[in-house]
Amino acid sequence: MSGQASTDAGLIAARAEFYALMAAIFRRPLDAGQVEGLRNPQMLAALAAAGIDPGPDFASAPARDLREALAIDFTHIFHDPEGKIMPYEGLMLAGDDELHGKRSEEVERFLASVGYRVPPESGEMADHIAVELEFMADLARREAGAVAGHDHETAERARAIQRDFLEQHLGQWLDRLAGQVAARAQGPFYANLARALAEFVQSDREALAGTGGAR
Amino acid sequence: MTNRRDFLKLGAIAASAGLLGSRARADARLQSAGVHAGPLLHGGKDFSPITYEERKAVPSACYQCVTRCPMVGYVENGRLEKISPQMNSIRTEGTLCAKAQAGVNHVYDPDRILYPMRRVGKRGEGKWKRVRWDEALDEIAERLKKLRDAGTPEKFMFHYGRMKSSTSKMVKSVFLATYGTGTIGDHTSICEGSKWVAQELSWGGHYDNWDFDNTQFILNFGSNVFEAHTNHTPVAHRLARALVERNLRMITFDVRLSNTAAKSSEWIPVKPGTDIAVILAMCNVIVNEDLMPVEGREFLRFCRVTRDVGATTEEKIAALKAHLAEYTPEWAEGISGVPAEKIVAIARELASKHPAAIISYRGPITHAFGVEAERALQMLAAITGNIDNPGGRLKAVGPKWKYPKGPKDKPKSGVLEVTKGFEGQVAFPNHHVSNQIFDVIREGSFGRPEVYMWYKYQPVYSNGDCKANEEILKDESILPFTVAVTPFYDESAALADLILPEATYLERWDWEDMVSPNQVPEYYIRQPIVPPMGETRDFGDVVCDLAERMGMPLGFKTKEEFVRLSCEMTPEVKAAGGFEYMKTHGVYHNPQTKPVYYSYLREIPESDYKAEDVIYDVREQLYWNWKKSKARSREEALEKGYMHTKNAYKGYVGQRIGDKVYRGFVPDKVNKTGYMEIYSELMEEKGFKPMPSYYPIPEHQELGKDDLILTTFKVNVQSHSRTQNCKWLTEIYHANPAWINPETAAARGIANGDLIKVKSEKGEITTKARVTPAVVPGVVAISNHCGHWKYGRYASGSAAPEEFRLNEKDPDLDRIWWSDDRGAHPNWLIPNKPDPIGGEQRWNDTVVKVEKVAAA
Repeated sequence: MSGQASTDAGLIAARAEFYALMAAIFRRPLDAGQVEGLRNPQMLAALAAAGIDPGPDFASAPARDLREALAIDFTHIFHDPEGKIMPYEGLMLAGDDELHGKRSEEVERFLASVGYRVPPESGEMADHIAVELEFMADLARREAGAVAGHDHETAERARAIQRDFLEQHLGQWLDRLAGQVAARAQGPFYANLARALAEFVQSDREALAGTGGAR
Repeated sequence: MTNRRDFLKLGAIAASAGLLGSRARADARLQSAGVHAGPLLHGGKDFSPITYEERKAVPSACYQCVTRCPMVGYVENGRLEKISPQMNSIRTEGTLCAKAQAGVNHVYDPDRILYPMRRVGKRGEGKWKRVRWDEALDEIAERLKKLRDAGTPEKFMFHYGRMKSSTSKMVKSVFLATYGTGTIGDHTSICEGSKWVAQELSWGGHYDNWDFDNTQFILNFGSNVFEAHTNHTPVAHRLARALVERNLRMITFDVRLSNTAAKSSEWIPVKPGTDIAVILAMCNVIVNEDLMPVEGREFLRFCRVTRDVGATTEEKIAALKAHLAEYTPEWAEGISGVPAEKIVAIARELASKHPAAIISYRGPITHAFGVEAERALQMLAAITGNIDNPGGRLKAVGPKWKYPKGPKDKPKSGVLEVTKGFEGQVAFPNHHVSNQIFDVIREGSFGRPEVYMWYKYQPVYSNGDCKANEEILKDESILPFTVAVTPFYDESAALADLILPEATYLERWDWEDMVSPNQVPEYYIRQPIVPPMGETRDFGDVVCDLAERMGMPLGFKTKEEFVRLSCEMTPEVKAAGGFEYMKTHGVYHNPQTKPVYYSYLREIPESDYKAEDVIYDVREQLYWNWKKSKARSREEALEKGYMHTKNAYKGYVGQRIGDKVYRGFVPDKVNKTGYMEIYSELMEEKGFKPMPSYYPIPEHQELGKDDLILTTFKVNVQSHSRTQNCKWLTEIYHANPAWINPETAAARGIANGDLIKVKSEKGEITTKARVTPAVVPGVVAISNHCGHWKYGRYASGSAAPEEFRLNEKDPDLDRIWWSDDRGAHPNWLIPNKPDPIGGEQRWNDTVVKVEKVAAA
């Protein structure tokens, strides 16, 4: 593999892992391993460099207390029976008033059109934020693998699908989600991560829009 | 703006830190559209209106009410699009009500609980933490193990509202029995407990089927069968067919012009709780005018009408005449408001038309002494020869499933006696006194559970005195740890410590066993039409999981496995093709099976009644197996006798009548004889009159001039408290104004649509008046379906604050056109008070005052 291709593949893989990280964060409350992973010095430095403030006590609070506080905030944001934010594209954007509505089906069709489906046992619908982010992560991994292997056709195809998905789906509602999460969150962690995610998705959309390639 | 590379670096480190979640799997499955062309079909299929592709049909069973009709769900792109009738069911015959079809709304209710939730903060504060199933179940298992190890498993109380068929067997008969607790509450006494007690005192095992397919006349006391019934659609469509195709007459006695009364030939208005007077007077007319049809006279042979079971038919008729002498039509008119000549006319009509279906439900039952109304109806049906005959009132027939029983050795279950009311409060708490459970627990002399778990139940909302229910459920000193098993965030779940999200019935397995209206059993199943959403789980799977965590495996791991094993163990189902057959077809009945009538006439062979351990009770003239009772020896059993040996009824074999031994009317729950008991020695021993009698309702005897009686009722598009999150149903019915007769309203200066306050000893509600002659004077009638303050946006209308709205342009928020009138819950007004005979919650006895709300 050429040095440039390796660098490009490396950057694309990093994109994939960023999407995957965000999917994990917004899928369910963090478990003990995930909390510790986020608090390792390298991650803390990377968060700081990315301008993401996880909160003043994030690094120092006892692990159990931190995990509990994050779980409560996650529940308050996404599951509180009265006032929760539902992180589904259909419910956010298209005026769907129920789960698995028309927009959710459109996302399913998009996934199906490129050979993906969300297994029923996963317990989530296609338009849930975590599923859309995981989809982007997987496409980016495929792109990275194709670039590393000099398979330009596959790489281009993967890139095009990511571009289309950001344009037609994910990129349309992240700002709104981030704004609502920020307003609802009782602590800085989810609020700031949601903002960061929205910012990144916007930049990704721009990056993919003109050239068809990630930089 | 943050440098994009800094985000990418975060991703790279996250990968190496093991922070990443699961991935969507690739599965190339593309769909293509086509145009469907074919013949017109009569049900059984469904097609997408957009792509014309045939939708996948999944046969299953409804659960919007206890009728549990077979139905078919149609799926497109993994989404349940439609619920339609099961054309092959002999119960429903291709019919299905609105509630069933709106079941789709449950699955996609955006307010569903999709994950286990643990309370943080105070009970009722509304603060929660989402937890994993492992954490939730580990906590429960630890608490239950502690109780079991301390020798007090009975301090785990399980309380269900609606739980039947395979789930009931798995949870009660296997899981709870293997664990060792018998502290199990149900809800029957807030439903129709006294009706069942009356049947247990008269004809044995409860449930009456009504044979509309073969009847010639229908006499109805207080049943609103066209809108609500435990076997609703299967019997209602048969009734409609009978009325229309055979032009039958149907007479309905009701406090209100219900839709059933409106479809009857005559509506006879009657004062609340006084149907018993009318029924006794009809019996008086029939017996004193010698109008008993020959079928009635013959049937008396199988009736006990005197203490002496060996009385002749003439002696029985004489006893009836003597007992009924005081219950004249004129007397009944004074009590009920029904003109004497009308009572006489209907009695004569009933006696002249055979067979007749004499039907009843909560109308006459949910009162003090409500047992007597049903016992009187049994007497009326008996003397007119309409018991267990084609066209009459029938002993129920349903499928008999075999199922895995779990561990062979189960402990003797401990019990906290909190389910039967206070000492001496109820004579026959055969079906518990669930409306008193919280009071009994609070009082404490029977002990208190340390873990209180409820399943498909709403202790706060569904009982009377909601305020007291809330207070008790909030009090950790009374109920230290509480668990709600529910798909939805209702008023009771809001006060729990832990919520376990159950999958909706559209996402679950069961075998089903509801009664067949045509007396031929139908086997049917429920299966997931779509997979469970989120992390919701079938509670049957959860108890298997809990059992494993407590080191007491049940022998199966999931509800699906339980259903599969049951299909293979049940001979008729296995012969048809077992589990695979049931999954494909959904329903099965044996076409060779004949309908069951006259079950009491079956003769018992000598080999059965002369078997070892079977003894003869000389006094009651019946045979019974003493070993199945609590008697410690044959001598003790003979000495005490059948009637006074605990659980003797469990050993009942047959009733000697003349020179034969008949199956008779098999006793259940109480030691009655095998006769149809119009005369009940058991009632006599408890200090009540042995034959059905009138007892005045205490609160109604000295009503003040401003006092009214509150009655509650149901409508056809809602079920109790649990369908109001179905938006299609709630769009149709979302307000429950109080019905008041014009005369009653005028006396209070109330006009139609006015805001009124309805007050009782327990509290007050504000609602709108609906002034109508469709309700008797002196009554205010309010349906029990409205007035939620939780249960999601459609049910309660509590919109999220502005800044949290999902979508400012959400058109559905504009479409909720009823947001200023969501009704009021009448249960705030109604005390928890049982019928002293059968324990029934006295829903329709409450005395209230009504006044107009002054304009501001």
